Amino acid sequence: MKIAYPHLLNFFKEKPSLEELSDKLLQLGHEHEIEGDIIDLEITPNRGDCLSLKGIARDLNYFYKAELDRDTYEGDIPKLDFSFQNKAKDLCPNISFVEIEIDGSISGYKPYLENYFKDLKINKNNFFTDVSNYLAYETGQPTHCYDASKINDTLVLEKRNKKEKFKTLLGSEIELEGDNLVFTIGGVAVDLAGTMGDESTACNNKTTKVLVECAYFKPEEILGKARQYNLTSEAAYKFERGVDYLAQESVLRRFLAIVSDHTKIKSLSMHSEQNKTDLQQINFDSNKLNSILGTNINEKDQLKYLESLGFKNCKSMMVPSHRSDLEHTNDLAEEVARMVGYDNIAAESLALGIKVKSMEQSLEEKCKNLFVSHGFFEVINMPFTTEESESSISVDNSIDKQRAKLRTNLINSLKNNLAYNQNRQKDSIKFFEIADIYTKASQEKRMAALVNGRSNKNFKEFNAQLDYAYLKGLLNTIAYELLGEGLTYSHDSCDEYEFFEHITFKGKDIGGIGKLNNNLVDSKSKTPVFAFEISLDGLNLSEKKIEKTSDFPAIFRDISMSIDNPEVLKELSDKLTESVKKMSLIKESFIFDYFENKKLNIMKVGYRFKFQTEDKSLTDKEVDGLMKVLTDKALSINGVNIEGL
Amino acid sequence: MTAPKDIFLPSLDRELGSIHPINQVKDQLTELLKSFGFEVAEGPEVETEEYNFDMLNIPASHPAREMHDTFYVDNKNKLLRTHTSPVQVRCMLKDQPPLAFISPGKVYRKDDDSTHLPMFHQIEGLYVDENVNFAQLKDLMYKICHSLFGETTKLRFRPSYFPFTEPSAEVDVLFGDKWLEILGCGVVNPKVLENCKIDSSKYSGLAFGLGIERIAMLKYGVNDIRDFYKSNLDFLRQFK
Repeated sequence: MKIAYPHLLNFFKEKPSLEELSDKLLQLGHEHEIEGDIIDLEITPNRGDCLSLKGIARDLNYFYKAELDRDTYEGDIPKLDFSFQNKAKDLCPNISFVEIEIDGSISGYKPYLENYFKDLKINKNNFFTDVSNYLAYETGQPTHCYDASKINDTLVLEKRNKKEKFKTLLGSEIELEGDNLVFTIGGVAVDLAGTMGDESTACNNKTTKVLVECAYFKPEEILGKARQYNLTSEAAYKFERGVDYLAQESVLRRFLAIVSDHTKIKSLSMHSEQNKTDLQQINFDSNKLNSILGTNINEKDQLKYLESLGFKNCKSMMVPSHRSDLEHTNDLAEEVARMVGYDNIAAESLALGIKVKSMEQSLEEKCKNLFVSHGFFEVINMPFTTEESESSISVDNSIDKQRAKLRTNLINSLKNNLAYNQNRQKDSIKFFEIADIYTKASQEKRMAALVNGRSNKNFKEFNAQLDYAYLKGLLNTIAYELLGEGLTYSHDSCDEYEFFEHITFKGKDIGGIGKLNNNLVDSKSKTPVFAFEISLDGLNLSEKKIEKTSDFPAIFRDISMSIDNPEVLKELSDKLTESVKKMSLIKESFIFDYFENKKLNIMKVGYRFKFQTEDKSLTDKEVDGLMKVLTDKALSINGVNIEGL
Repeated sequence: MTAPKDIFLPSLDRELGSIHPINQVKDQLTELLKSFGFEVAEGPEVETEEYNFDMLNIPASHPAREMHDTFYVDNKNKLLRTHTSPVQVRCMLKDQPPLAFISPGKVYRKDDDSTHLPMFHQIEGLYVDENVNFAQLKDLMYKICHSLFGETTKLRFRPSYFPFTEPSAEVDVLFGDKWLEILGCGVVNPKVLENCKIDSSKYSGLAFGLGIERIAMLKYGVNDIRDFYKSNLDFLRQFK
């Protein structure tokens, strides 16, 4: 909301500088920018009462002694003889009308009215509308002007659900639909209440007899109407935030005063309905107020601050009718704090009487650290997507069609990240993401990783490509090192992957890993892309048990085997793993060598086993016995040979 | 003795990756607040109106509840949380005071321009106990801001409006000659405590919330918020 500094000064006995005023406005919570003499205020949504010159002056009253009363028409006003039916008293409890007839000649505007248009660079319209607009600026209360000569039947205020065309006074045509609070004449809507009137009853420069309506509408009834019909309405903005529910008659008297300031009034009459008159009351407890703020402000000062804002202390605190945002002692505390200045309240040392239960890293944190140490970059993606699946949740009011669904996996986001970087000549990419995935059926924390391109930027690894074994190895590292147990893989087919394996952990399907189908990556690069995605739900860090270490020497044994196809390798690996689990003397085993001759279709694999015990030095005989069990197990598989045996 | 050949070979340098800069800031803030005594709590991003608005005293007439500000999903039965405060509601419903929780996470608002994104990150904190007051809230805000931006950082508190706190404040930090809004905070509105079955005549609370992207932009000198979400390797490499 823009106000002009000189206009505001008219309300004060003291004349603060613009800079001083600016500081006070900020202290009171009215953020603003200043350009020349214009103060552009960002009023918080709860302070509808400050959307006017008078409202701001009232808030500054304590500092500069505001003179809030403007000239109003003080004479007796005859009762308006017109037919009005309020069928929505619960939505509009207070409403007043004044009918004014003037002699038709306006020679020019008085300085206060002229300067409003000039200083704020606002276009004039017609006399009555101009007065109405100025009055909203001055008092914060919108009024609506009907050309009285065009009101030829009962004016009805009603909430109704009727689809109808409505041409606004600004000339735009809209179609009303759903429930709307409207003023109607002869069943036709002539005013979308609190938002905008129609063209057929609008005033123009020839209007000499006006019916001015001034109402209090419940904010929730007006909220969103202007936006719904794509209208720009200052009135709706004010009603949405709440206007003074007792100001209607006095605002119309001010309207009359301004009119009579400019021309001769031939006749005037008024109609008023007031159904909401009780003031809100809040129990005032000075001690409680201090305990909320952590201050020691004496009661007299507290009352002084509150009374400067229009509160009246009569047993309990009577809240002025322009403040619809106050309900309890905390609200009063905020009012006092604003007057004192938040910056003037001393901080009081706070020590939380609560101890943190755990400072240990979570599985998620440990996984992240592992990824980072292996050169992976974490990405964060928006959850919105265009991809639709049966389980995807739809966004009812999406920004656009491309973001109308919530993603059901992380891999597709990583593929987009890959394409973005491949298209920018990145030839070594390692990404991971951990995020919650929401589907119609479930909510799940997932972790996904993707690799593509060169292994590393050093002379040994530059020409090596990131491959399936690399990614699977990383996943196995997470399983063995963090979860304390291995994963199980089972080959399957999947449209998105050239090859794919399901991953299970402790018998539960947790995700999959594979080589992505390059045709589904939006990039010209066709280097292989490998990815996995698993659910982290139900996975926990393994409990660390520290075992006694042995001071006795270890014995190492290696065996090299040749095999003739990859499936034999899987069987060999499974059988050896099973056997090793049963041999407590084997402390470690791993593949130390692997060679593949594609031409001869031969693979060679070397296993190393570490034997050790805590209570003695092992003998060759003991170790040889166990090695024989292992070699026999290996040789029992068709297609496995051990050279030298 | 001649030196071995390996000494003259180039070393096998390997590149480290990095945690996303937003998560780095989030983690730093989380660690800081944990050191003050706060416990981390998490909750769903797809929420109900009850937890996201009603319980937090955000009335039906509040502009935030309009379709242009909030993403509604599943035929308006649910929404994408607009703040992490619903997590705190869940914490308050679960336990009785004293309570001290922080809830870091993703939140959603229907915005998409050079300074706003439809998804961003917040970290919100809540402390409920007997005799908690605004002056103590100020102390905590000083501690947080001084930890983030240095001991000599100047702060400014000014009144603001959040339906779930009363009094409410915005905290500005002076950078050069410019005040920048850093966080929002306030004394928990007694109605929120009552909604969460906490006796507001016995207990009071303080709450605060920081936008993580804003802190990250200031910390790293990033001018365009969208840079965080392009997943550009050249950008991410700078946050090792």
